[in-house]
Amino acid sequence: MKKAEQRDLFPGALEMMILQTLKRQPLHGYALVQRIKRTSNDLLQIEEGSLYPALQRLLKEELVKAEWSISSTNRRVRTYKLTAKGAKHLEHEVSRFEKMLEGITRVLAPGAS
Amino acid sequence: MMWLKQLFSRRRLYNDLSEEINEHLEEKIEELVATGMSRKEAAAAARREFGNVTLTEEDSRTVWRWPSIENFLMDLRYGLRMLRKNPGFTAVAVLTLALGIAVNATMFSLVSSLLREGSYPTRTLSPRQITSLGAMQTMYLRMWLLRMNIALPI
Repeated sequence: MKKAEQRDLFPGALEMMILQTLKRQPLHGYALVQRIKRTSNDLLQIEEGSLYPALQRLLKEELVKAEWSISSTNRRVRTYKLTAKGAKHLEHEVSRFEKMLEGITRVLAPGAS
Repeated sequence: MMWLKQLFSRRRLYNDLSEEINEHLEEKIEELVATGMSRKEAAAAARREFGNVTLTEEDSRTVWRWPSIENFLMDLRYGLRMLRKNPGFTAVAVLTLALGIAVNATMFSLVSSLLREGSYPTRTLSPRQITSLGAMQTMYLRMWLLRMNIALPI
């Protein structure tokens, strides 16, 4: 479990992207990973499988909920939906991430001393 | 009560997960087949992109586990398995323990019954008398050993 997290950019990055993607619309696992890949212009090489442990963590913490349904392509899919708790968590994580990113950017910027 | 619910619904969680991953692979395969790939190639490609299925399932299940107790049970099972694998070592260990416990139990019951043999109303004795009681006990022990024909350098 730890290792899977370390394969990410940083711990929790994948979870954050999942939550953000689910915020736009509920999706099932396969659609979710395709969406993340496409949105990132394939810059992020996500191993499709790594999505599932992350989804289980989110399920356990009740940040998302899952329901079996039939997709438009007539496939039995388990659709994930963001919960209210998940939306709150996402907001918090995003603001934390932005602060971190800003800090790193400032340090890396040329001319910074 | 969350953990209790989780404990009982775990099988369902695991089944959901396996089914979900299967569906994921199926969907991927179908999509690849639609682009003109043969089904066999598509299956291989889908698995390649997915990564290690078993590992993924395992990692996903770990999330629901109760690490400390389950690790302890796993260690216990591992220990038992190793004992079964090395019967010689097991036999020596078990015999050593059995012998040790048996000897201790015997000695305890022996000394206990010997001391009780000369039972006095100890509670009413003065400290001085208790000293003499101790002496009496040693005497009883010696007498008993003599009777049983056991020689001890007491």
